[in-house]
Amino acid sequence: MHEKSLTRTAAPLTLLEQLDARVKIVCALSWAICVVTIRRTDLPLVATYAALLAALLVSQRRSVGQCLRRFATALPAIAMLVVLLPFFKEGTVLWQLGPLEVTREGLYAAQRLATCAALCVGVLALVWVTTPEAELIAGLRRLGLPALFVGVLAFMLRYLHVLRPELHRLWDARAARTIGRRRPPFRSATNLLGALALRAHGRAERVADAMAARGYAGQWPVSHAHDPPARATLAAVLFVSVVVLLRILL
Amino acid sequence: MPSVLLLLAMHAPDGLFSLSVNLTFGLVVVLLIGRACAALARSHDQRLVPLMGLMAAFVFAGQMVNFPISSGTTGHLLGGTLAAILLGPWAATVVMAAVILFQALLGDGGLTALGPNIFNMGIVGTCLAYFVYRVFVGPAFHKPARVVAASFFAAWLSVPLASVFVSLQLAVSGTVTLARALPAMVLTHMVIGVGEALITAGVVAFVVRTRPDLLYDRPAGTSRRVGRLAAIVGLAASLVVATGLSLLPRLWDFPDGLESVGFQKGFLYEEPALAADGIVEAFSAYPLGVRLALHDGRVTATQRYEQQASPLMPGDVIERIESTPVTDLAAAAQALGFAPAENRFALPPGQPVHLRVARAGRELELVFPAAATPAAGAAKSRFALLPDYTVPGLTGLLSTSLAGAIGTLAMFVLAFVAGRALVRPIAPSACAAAHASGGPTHA
Repeated sequence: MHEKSLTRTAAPLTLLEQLDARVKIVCALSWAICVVTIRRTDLPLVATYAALLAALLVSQRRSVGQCLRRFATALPAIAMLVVLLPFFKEGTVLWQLGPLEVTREGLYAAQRLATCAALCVGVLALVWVTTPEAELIAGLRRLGLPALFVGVLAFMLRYLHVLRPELHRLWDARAARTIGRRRPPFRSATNLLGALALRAHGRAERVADAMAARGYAGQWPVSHAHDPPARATLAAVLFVSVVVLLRILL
Repeated sequence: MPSVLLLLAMHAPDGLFSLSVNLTFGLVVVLLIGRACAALARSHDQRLVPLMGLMAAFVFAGQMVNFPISSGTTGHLLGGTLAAILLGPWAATVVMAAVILFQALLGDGGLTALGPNIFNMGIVGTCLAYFVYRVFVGPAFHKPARVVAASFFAAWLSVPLASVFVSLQLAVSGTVTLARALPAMVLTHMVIGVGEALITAGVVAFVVRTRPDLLYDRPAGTSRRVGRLAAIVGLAASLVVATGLSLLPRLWDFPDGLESVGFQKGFLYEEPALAADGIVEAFSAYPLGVRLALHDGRVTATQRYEQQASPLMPGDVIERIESTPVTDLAAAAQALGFAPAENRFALPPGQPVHLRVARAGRELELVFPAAATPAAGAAKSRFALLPDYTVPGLTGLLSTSLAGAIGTLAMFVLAFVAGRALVRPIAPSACAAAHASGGPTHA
């Protein structure tokens, strides 16, 4: 995530990076809805979508590797589901592996699931890599999500970077105290998590005090600094209509 | 194997649920989150947003801690119930929704499946579990053991409850049938839930020991009588729900895992239904893979046991077994070597059985090969994963219901024991260390 903020200042922005976060979120959502309605047999459509995704990815120049890494981290969980689904669905049995049966319907469902999940995760990786967290938060707020919800999301993103090292410090401290014990007892792990909860609470109080001292009265100013250029919005509208048209035509 | 699939289905990716399921649950979630945000905003508590944000970060970070459960197995927290106990149900719902949305943006769980995902892990894990927690604690918030036991029970229940919703969503989406998903889901998540319960109760126990004021509910000044009433009502409600759940296996006609093995290995037979005068009314003819009953004076196959590949269909009228004409069940039982007194078949294993049956007006000669007899092992096994417990000496629904009630009581006792064990005082030096670890003072 630090990498992301650094690359942001390094070179001229790509079109996707210039786009307003709202536009990107709406595009990703409409893409996901179109993808979810794909049937197994819509192979030309899948190929076209995959080509579109690949083109978007290549247009990212510097952050291609970052996108691919983001994409790869999401893959294991999906791969696990895809591998297991054929054993789980009822239907015509193709192979029998002891008590497990691979069914044709299961294979079809797995194929469809893999396609849908890969296409959606790919687009989300693009959105995540090309949008700084702050812009993403502002975009969600300006899309009309409740201020409270977006506030919680913003604080979570901000303090995750603080709590995670704190957790590691607690972890290291415990490891230092329990020298030579390979498997710490369960209770000490829950105590560690409890201590983290107390620290999170304490920090929340200090943050609230600091905010009150700076004049916070329950409202955030909504920033309009990143109003999208007309060109970018046009591109987004074009993108959504192409995706929807492809879905209808192919 | 299925358990892993369904464990992952909690963070459902795009394409696992149908669009209609996604949209329906999405709508429900949007309405509930909107309601929660409105209710919280009305409180005008400026400290709420930082607190909720930090707690969301805590839940997210807490989900990354792997707990040693048993040899080589680790579990991690979902955190919905814990958040609800610390923040209250509405705030916890918003917190969990934020966590799940963030995870979806990172690619863990689909964007279109956000509705079902937030519902299963957020709303069931927070609101429903919090309700259970409140009912179980009653007004006894000053009793640490009760609070910890309640958090244990609520956290445990939230996981199988969520799994019920996941399997319903899978079934409505047409991904997996309910008969296949529900028993596997509920059973595995009853086990997984114990991990969630232990972690939640452990953290709550730590908070109760060190900063009891951080719990959402303050000790209420209710009378002891009301407390007792609440506890009784809570126990009764859980008993009713659990008893209902325990009747679920009756939906599936196949035997449970242990029974299935028993039938295959030939050491287990179903009790025959006996009339008042000791005459057999129906019995399970496992060598034939069916249940036989007397219908209009004829012996008819009434039900097929799916764990055995049987050529007999329900409705077939048995006319002759080997060379013995079958006129009543006693004759059929005798021909199959069935001894009602000993409740087992004396048919030599591995011997083919010749049968003459009438099916839809046609006469059929069926030969049961040696493989069809239970001793030789069934070709295909299928069984209900939720066992159909019974109480010895009783039969039918009453027995199952009673067994369910006993199981629930056992779970309550387990929760209390866990609660007591977790709140037992620890060494003062450890307490002091916990107080001292306030972290750096800057925000």
